Amino acid sequence: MNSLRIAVCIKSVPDPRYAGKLVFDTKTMVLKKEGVPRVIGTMDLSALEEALLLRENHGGTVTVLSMGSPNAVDCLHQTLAMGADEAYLITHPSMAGADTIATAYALSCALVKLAPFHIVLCGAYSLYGSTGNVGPMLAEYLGFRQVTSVSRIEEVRNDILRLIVNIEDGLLRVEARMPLLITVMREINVPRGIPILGIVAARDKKVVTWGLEDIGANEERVGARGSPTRMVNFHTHEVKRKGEILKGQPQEVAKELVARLRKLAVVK
Amino acid sequence: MAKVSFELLGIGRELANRMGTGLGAVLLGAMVSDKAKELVESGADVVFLGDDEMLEPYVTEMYVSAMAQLLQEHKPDIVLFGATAMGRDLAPRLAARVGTGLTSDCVRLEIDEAGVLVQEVLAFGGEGIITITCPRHRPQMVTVRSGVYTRPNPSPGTGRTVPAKLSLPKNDSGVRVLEFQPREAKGMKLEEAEVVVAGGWGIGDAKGWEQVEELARALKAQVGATRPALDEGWASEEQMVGQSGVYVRPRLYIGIGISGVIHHTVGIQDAKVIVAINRDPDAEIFKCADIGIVEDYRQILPDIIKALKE
Repeated sequence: MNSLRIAVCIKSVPDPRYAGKLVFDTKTMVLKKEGVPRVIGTMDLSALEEALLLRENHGGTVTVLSMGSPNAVDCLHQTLAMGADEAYLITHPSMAGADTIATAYALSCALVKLAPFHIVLCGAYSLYGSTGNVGPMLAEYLGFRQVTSVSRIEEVRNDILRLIVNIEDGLLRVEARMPLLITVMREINVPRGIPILGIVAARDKKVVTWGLEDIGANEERVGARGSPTRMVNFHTHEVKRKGEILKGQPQEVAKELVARLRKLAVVK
Repeated sequence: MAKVSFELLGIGRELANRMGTGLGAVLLGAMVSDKAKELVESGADVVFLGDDEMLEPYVTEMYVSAMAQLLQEHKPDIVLFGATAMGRDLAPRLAARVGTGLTSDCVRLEIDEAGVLVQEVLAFGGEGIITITCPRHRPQMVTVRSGVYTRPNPSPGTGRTVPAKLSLPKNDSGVRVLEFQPREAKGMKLEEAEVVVAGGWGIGDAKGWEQVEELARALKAQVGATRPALDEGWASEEQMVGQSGVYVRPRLYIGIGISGVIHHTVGIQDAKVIVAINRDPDAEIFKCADIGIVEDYRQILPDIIKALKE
């Protein structure tokens, strides 16, 4: 196996530092994300980095795909600057409100159009919503084998990969045959930043935008229509604790704290 | 068997009662039939047992195939999975295979007046909770992390074991487990700790982290951490408290130098008493603490340790 065709699926998410600006419109049941800059999910970045490393070691191409709203294009530019060979934004009004099933379906259509791929990489889970479902769902739609929670790719030999899988009880050493979908854990690597030369080189590369017809998708299976699950409400996390601030000199405060904790019988 | 499986039998019992239906457990593996009793003692009315050497070790396709057959035959309304590495591998593929939805990392489950499963998950950046339903597709499938629900006390049950008639695919060795290296159990698991002292980015350096550990020793507590502390190398992965780590339910939790974003605080909300120490008066963590101290921890931790020894 000399030249690997590698795909990476990423999700652009609202930058958590600006999450306070998110507003849920209870009338339209839509989470409004206008004005909130978008970033690539942490584990997705590791997936991209792993793809770039595989290309460095084995040759081949790295294709990045994302399904989302038009403003996800900035994140895809970023992947080109990091070194991806090509990037596709799958976007169409009908795709709005997609859950992980509808997202995986749309991505699978795009991947079939761009086939063949030897390896598809995704993040193992994300911190906010739809945690890691897309990878295995995508593998199912593509008919690929899957290995999830991968913390290390040990070897690639012909069409066989040897991987380390990180589970709660320990580590598994696994061998799997391509074509393969892999979901990666954060600890698999440290994603590179964007090199200056990367930005320069990326100026000539464009993010390709594909809509419903380009990917040959059935409109009934994308977006909210194609989603078995749906968001029905959003509320702020209610907390019922007093939040009493102890004031005074450190020594007094320390004594007061310990006295209270003893009174509450949580400390001896 | 994973602790979370028993925790899910606990919430499963509540949901089944609310729906006026039965609670089943699926037990797959090789030479595992003796484990069915434990599941019955935790509330299962029926244990669907798939005992086959093809089901050991776990290989995705075998388990997806087995589960799909069981879902087809028994048509449950709801299927609960632990949000473990195996659950994250199995549940989404199974959902896609049988054509239903999946909601992962639920922090709350209940049945509404229409008999539908209401699924709550954390919202972006920690601003709140999103409520999700799967109105038409069945079964409704969710994953739940360990620690969200409590394991029921075992009691003798009248549940029965039903052997599953499975037609498993031929193993094409497309995915092969070569070996398993168990992780060294480092003493008591954080999620079982009675007292937790956790540090975050505000600790500043490894020297400061030593003070956190000293306070923990004075309290006979386990040490927890947030993601930034992990990234700085002061703590290890299994010490991380929060959505991507461990859910703790100690009688006392003290968070030091922790800002308090929701994917940490969701992991501590079942603590009996929460104390927060942070020199930033606007830190989010003060909103979910019982007692707060606005102070540089270096100025006050030694005094706290001293007061504890008196």
